[in-house]
Amino acid sequence: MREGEVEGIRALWAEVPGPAVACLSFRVGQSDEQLTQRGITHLCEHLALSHVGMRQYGFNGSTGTTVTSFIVQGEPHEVASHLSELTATLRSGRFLDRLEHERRILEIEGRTRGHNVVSDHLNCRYGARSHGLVGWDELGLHRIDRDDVWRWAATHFSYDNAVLWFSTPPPEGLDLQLFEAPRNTAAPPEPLVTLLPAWTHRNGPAAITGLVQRSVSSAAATALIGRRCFDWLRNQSGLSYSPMTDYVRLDGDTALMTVAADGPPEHGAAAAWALWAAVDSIATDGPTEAELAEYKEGSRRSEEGPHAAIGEMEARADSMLHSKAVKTGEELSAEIAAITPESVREVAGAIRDSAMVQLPLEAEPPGWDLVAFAEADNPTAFGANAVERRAYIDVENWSGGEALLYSNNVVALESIPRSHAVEISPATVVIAHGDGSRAIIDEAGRTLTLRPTAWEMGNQIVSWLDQLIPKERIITVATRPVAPTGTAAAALRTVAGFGTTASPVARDPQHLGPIVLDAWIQQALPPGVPESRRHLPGAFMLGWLAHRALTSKWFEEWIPDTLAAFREGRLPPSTLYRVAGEQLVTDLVAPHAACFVADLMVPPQENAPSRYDELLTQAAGGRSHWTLTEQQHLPAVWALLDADWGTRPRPGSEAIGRLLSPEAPSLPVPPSRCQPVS
Amino acid sequence: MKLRRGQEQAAPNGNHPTIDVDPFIGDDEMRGAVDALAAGSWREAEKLIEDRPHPMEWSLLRDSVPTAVIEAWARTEPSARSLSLLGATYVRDAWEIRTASRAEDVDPSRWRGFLSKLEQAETILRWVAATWRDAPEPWAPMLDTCRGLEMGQNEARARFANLQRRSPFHPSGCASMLQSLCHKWGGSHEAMFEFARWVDQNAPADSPAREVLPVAHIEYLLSEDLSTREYFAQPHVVQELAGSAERFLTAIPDYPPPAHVPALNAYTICAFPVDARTARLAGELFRRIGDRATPFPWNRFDSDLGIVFASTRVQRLEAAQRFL
Repeated sequence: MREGEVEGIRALWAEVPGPAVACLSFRVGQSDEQLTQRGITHLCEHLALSHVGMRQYGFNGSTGTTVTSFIVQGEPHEVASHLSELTATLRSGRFLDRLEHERRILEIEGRTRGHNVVSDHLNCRYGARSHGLVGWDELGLHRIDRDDVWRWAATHFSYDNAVLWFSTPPPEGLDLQLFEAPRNTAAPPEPLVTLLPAWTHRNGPAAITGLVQRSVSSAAATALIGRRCFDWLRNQSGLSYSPMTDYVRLDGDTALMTVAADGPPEHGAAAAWALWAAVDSIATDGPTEAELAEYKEGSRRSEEGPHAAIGEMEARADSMLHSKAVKTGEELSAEIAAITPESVREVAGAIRDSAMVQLPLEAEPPGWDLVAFAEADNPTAFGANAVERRAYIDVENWSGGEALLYSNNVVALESIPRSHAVEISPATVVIAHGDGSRAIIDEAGRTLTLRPTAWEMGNQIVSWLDQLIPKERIITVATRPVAPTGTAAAALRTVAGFGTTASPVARDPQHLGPIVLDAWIQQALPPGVPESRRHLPGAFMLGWLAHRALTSKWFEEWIPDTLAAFREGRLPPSTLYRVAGEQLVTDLVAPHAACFVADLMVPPQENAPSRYDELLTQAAGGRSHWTLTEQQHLPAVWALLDADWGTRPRPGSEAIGRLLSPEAPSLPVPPSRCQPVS
Repeated sequence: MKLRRGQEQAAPNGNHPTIDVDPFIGDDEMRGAVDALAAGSWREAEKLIEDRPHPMEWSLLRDSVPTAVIEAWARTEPSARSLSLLGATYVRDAWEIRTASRAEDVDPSRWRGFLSKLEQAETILRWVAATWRDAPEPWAPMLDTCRGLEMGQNEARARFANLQRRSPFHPSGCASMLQSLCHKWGGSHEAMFEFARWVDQNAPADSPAREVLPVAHIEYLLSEDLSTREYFAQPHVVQELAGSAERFLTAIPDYPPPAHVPALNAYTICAFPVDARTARLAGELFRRIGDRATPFPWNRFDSDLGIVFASTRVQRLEAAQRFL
């Protein structure tokens, strides 16, 4: 294996039989991003390849936690031209022309990407920062612009920050153009301080993750734990079809070990216990000599394979990117040969000490010595001189005793018996939805969603939040996945609330002024639903209200150009919805229009179609409306809405006022077994 | 005066014997620690209590020093001990907010403050447990927060297992675990007695944790609203408690240090003279205690510690005379 410099980039190469393979890697990944930039590295990776098109040779790009790689396999000249082309694309800035295209591609990719054990647990361990960002949607795609992307590329896709390896001598014709920027030496921060080991209920299989320092012993411990899990769960008990083991390199120092067991939820607790027993037994007694010898023999065999050199180059490139000591294949082999049961036992002990044990939602909580997982350092609004607001979303919530408290340091939803709070700090990020709701996310990853219409004078809270959080940390996202529920009266309060001119005691909507429309999308979209359906019905309703001039005069004054473009048919309702969400959160529609919308959107009974659903089906000629696209059924549905609006009697000022201002019942004492302690 | 739960006693009118209750039960060192802490001399206080992990000392500190002082200590000298004590103090504050009324009588507005304070304590204690991984200190008050926040029996057992691993038969932890297993906290009499007997049979003979056995009997009779005298006179109860108390008395010094005094008080409540053996036992228990009455578990019967202790002593010793 040779090491040197190719085109100004640190490089490794070896003579490996088969087609030529090359990999260009950069020391930048998801954990280098901020939540407001989440996805920017992935976007750069896509953009670098966006001009390549369809080719006969194989290629791909990948974005990891700290490394982004471009790999290509083909004839040597194809490898050379591919790498030259993608670096030229990056360096020239040509890729920026494809920004919107790739942004859309990534948004679609993001929706197909499910969360998994690794991303969920990294999120729990690191919060909304560093490695924890792996578990977050690519929210940055909603706000990053050309300048952001260019700056990110110029900072990270540089000669000094790259390592290249080839399975052949460096091919002729390479012309690699990168940026001039220093090597990225950023060290990801430590995990949040949380009490581990702990168990947690999650939507997923029985699983355990643990953090380890990267070493050959750690890889061995992971493999040996996995082997025991497989033996116990598959071969002996038959509880799982394919227990899996994973060893994810997070950065130059740290790795995450994962063992998981598929299988029916009713066996989740037993499977989790078996996984834990495997970790615990090796952490207590170490592996047997036979187990370790078998592992070493397997490693030795893989070192003798024809492609072992590629694995070695990958490992050495990773060390070079992370500025770690580079070990030769011989040195690694010697380290593996020197692994002892004791060194494996120590690593397993570290895994046990940092373990998060996941049980499927349906599984009973364990009765072992594991405590329940809790988020790190949960803040509280108690004693924070917080302003208090009462919920009036519906009568049920009143009696739940819920209150929203907010101060400059914390926003808390307090209820009996549990409260939930997020911290307001320079790292806090807010997601602004098109319907005026706001999701507050603090550095630890705690999230609290605020709907202005769900709280007394809720608009004031949202306005306060918009002033408090700097604009660069507000991400505007059009839709919010919730569905309206409740009784007819509660439903109106779900979709509509007081405007800024409202008095909480006023009963006459003439005195209330315009009110907010709180729109939504359906919570669970069936498979095959077209993309445009995601923006419905909130966008449609706003569009129809704007079309019928049922929005407030402020709405008309604030975004006149957008409204004009919309009414001329140049903008779809979803764009109008998004612009409205960016511009305003208050004073949107007239009370009687909100009342109409509430009546239209809320099913009369649970699991029954709403009037809006019926209209969609009607407009689709009796076929399932899910298959319709926005363009196809918009005029038809609006015509039906117009007809409904024309025939439906107005409820009258007094009725609307009554619905909007329910009597708040007194709070009952919650049932409790609480007794005084001595 | 008879031991009757919840019955307010008349003010002393000269007929009731009483004692001067010393909250420090004669422990001048602890009195000095509290004074030092209150004066802001954290180091001096820490030195004084360095090797004294018994709950008696903890509760004395917790109950004698204002929250603000503990907060200042924890801020100035953050350690597993100072922060755990802060957590324990917040638990105390939570119950002050809630008051000791029955759940249905608690003012609704107090519930939120109670639960917020407990969550505050839980947050601090979890942080301490995660930071000082070998420290037993946070785990005992974490059993209290677990109970107050109604996290369930499994969680309590898990926390106790963690405490037991770090500090076997931690007196405060055992006492708190017993409460968690009580019927009134969602447990059962069976689970409570099973735990108490496990401690009694496995803890060192001089362990203050052994108080959980007499406390379990007290909890049972209070829960079932039984007559104290009749319950403690039953042969199987006498057999179990007298045997346990005798083993304890044999193992501890003739003049027991403060750490053993709460357990002595618990055994004493259960010691009704019904024969020569129990008469001797009651006399011995009162002799070892002297005037060092502790609020728990006497406060389960009466709020005036001095009167209930002294009156009970007079009655029991008089009764004992009949068998000696």
